Amino acid sequence: MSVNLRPVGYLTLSICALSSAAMADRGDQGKLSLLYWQAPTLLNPYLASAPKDSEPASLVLEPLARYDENGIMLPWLAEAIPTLENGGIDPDMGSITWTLKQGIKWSDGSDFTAEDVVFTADYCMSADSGCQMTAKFTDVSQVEALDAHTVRISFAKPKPYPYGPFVGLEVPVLQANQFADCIGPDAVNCSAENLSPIGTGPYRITEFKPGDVVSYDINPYYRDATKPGFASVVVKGGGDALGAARAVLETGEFDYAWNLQLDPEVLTKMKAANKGQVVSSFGTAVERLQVNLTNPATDLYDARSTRDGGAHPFLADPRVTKALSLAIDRTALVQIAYGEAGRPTCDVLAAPAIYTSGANDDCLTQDLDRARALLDEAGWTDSDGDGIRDKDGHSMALLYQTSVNPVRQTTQDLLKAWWTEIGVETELRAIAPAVFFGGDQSSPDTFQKFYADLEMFTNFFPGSDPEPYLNNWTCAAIPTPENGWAGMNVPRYCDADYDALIAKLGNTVDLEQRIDISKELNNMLMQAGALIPLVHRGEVSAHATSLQGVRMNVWDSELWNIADWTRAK
Amino acid sequence: MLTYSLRRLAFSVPVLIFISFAIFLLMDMAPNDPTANLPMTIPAETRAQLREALGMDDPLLTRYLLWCKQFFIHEPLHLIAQWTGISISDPDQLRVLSWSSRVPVVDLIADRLPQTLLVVGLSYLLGIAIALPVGIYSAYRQHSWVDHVGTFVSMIGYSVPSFFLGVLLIIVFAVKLSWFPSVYDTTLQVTDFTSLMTQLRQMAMPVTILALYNAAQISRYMRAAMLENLHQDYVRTARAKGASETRVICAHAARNSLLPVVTVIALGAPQVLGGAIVTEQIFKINGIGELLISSIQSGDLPVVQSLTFLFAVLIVLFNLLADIAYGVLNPRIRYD
Repeated sequence: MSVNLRPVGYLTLSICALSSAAMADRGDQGKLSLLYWQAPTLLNPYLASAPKDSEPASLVLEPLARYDENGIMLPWLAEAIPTLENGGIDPDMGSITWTLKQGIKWSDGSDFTAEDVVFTADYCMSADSGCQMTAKFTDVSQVEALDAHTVRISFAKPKPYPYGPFVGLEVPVLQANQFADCIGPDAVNCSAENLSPIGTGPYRITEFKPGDVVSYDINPYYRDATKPGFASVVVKGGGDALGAARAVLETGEFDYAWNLQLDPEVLTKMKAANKGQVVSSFGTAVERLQVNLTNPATDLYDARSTRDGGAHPFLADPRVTKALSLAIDRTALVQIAYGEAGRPTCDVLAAPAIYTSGANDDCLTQDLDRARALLDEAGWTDSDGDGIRDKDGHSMALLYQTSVNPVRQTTQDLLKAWWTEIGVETELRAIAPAVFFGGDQSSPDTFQKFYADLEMFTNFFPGSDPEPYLNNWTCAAIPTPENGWAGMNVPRYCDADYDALIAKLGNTVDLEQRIDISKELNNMLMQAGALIPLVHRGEVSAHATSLQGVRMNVWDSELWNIADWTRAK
Repeated sequence: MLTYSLRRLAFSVPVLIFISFAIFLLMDMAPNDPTANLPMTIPAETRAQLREALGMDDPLLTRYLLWCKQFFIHEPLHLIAQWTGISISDPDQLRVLSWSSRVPVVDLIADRLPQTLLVVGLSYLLGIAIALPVGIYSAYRQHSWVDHVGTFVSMIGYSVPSFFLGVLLIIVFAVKLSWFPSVYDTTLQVTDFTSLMTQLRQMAMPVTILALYNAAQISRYMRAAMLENLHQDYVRTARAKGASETRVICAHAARNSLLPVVTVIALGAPQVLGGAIVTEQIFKINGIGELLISSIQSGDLPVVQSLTFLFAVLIVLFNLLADIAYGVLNPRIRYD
């Protein structure tokens, strides 16, 4: 079974809950100020799923189950996590049945029922709604209310991991009554509803200025009479990460600042003021180099960077990518560019811990001599004495692109220097994020067209099941001109064995077996040299020293337990 | 003068329509994707559906005409309905909606305008109030210490970029001295003396920076114009017939010197409504400038299109105002 249920986790949670409840009464902690330097613009995660929007929305809207700071699923609006053992999951994996908690009310005083859950599924699954979370509802055939507090979600095919709908911060339950007129194409035009959704969470929205500030007060109908501690919350947006860090760590104007990917030196200096502390949490995000296994040469025209254009002149050789990987000093890279926000990694599947392979860890230590030996072995030597290796008249020169981002440009510079030492020439390119990550068909600079030899970005998967993530590298997921350059298999890796193993994973229920298969898939990708993982990236935030109860959580909203937050006296 | 103004206004209509189409074309040609900033876990099909739901797949002309209809018909009708309560058309008519917040663009602008007008507008007025006397006196007492100090401060205001000056002020006055806040609170309601002081404190740093820049610019123009006029024959004549020095400077030389300065002031005025992108970012004022830059970053075309078009309208209008002001200040200029 693929559920991470840990009774110990429940126990500690309930102890924490008890102790903080004993300390505080509802609303006696005053005002809480949060700084989200990327300002929230829309508080409906179905239409705006970026963390800058879904996290401020998580104070109001809640899912049936969410993840704690260790990535373990907790029942939230549901009584318990449905499993095969407790009968919540159908033995043939065709459906999952959630039992909702009794007595939960919306912030307008009406009852929270199974109808709201059914409505929310309809809301996201209806055509032309612009719902961004449709992937969470993949294969859902029917969502029905068995009674006022029981919901059954049926799937069109067996689902070994049925925790897509209503698990995690991006798929909370909306109030059926409020959004009744916002189904289908009308969803995007419901300005008033999207500005101020009614929720079951500890707070309700009193004022929202999109792109500027959200103000909250306590939801009078919140289920725990002793919580939340803070009487009001303000989420302010604007500025940049540096200014946000300063407002918490140096001036103390704010209690919490989100997403502070900054130069480690800067953060260390700011911490010296002793007004706040930096917290980090590691999820599944890995900064990696994508290796173009196909040929991006310009003279191939339409066949550029496609499998029809043929293999890459040297990157298709795993010895070469191994050499490039060994030339990188990941520890130094982390120290210089990431600080507390990163750890070296050699696996593209770097978390949860039970899934990490560890079979590729030899790349953790830089070994320039071995890298040089591997390139020599592959037949790439510096025959003309210009310091750059060549073979058959072809010089080993790389075009290495990524998005504009100070940390990424530092990484580019470091890697270029290391590769120069092993005789590889690197040309660097930095592309505006809106273009690089955008799907504009007319632009040659998107990460999916990949008209370069290497490119770098971060990818991750939500929740704790890596199956959809590993699905990214099947032959069918290769971006091509025919499919409009869609698909996440950017390296253009295609291996029948990999595809077969993916199919096997889709039919495997046993958790141990799923873990073994996932590790095997990770190792296949690493050994083929399709990806060069660099850094396991964490999320970094800062909070005032006086703020207590923060349990930094990368698996869900960072504000997931805001009802428990208090201020030290 | 009236006929002239009306003629100019009438001429500006085709100009503005052309501008709006040019902006639309430019936006369309720029590589841009509002779904680019979404988490990478969102699959391509969903992104395609999103773009379709936003109407991005329609032909260019359809989208442009739809924007025209929403902007020139629906929005004014909505405004009239709000002000007078008379609803001419059904209230569900589509207004220009932002792609990233799904809120009418005009409402977003209304949210942002107060802080921009207050901070940028005040700094502009303050800048003018400093620049005119400084410029006049610097010219009148050329090479005096006032002139040298004025020139020095202007050079600083001109040449030190606000992203540097802003951060410098924050480090000195917010971090070290804790006099002023580094984050502007747009939810603050001024109701009593305490909240007024809070408002003044949070405006102090951004207004200083912008006022310095404006004063630097305008005072240089004022000084140059004054210097030119002070050596004119009519000034000597005024002195010769025994007019007091105050009268010579204020009534004769300064009035004539104001002509080019008025143009500079009028042409600079649209920037008050356009906001100050950098300063707003640094102090998290979240005014019009911040709205524009964040919309550009997130590929929010309706907001960018509407804002740039409004700026174009303002620039055309203030050009006209500058020309009219010319005629008022200088009776020799007649347009009819």
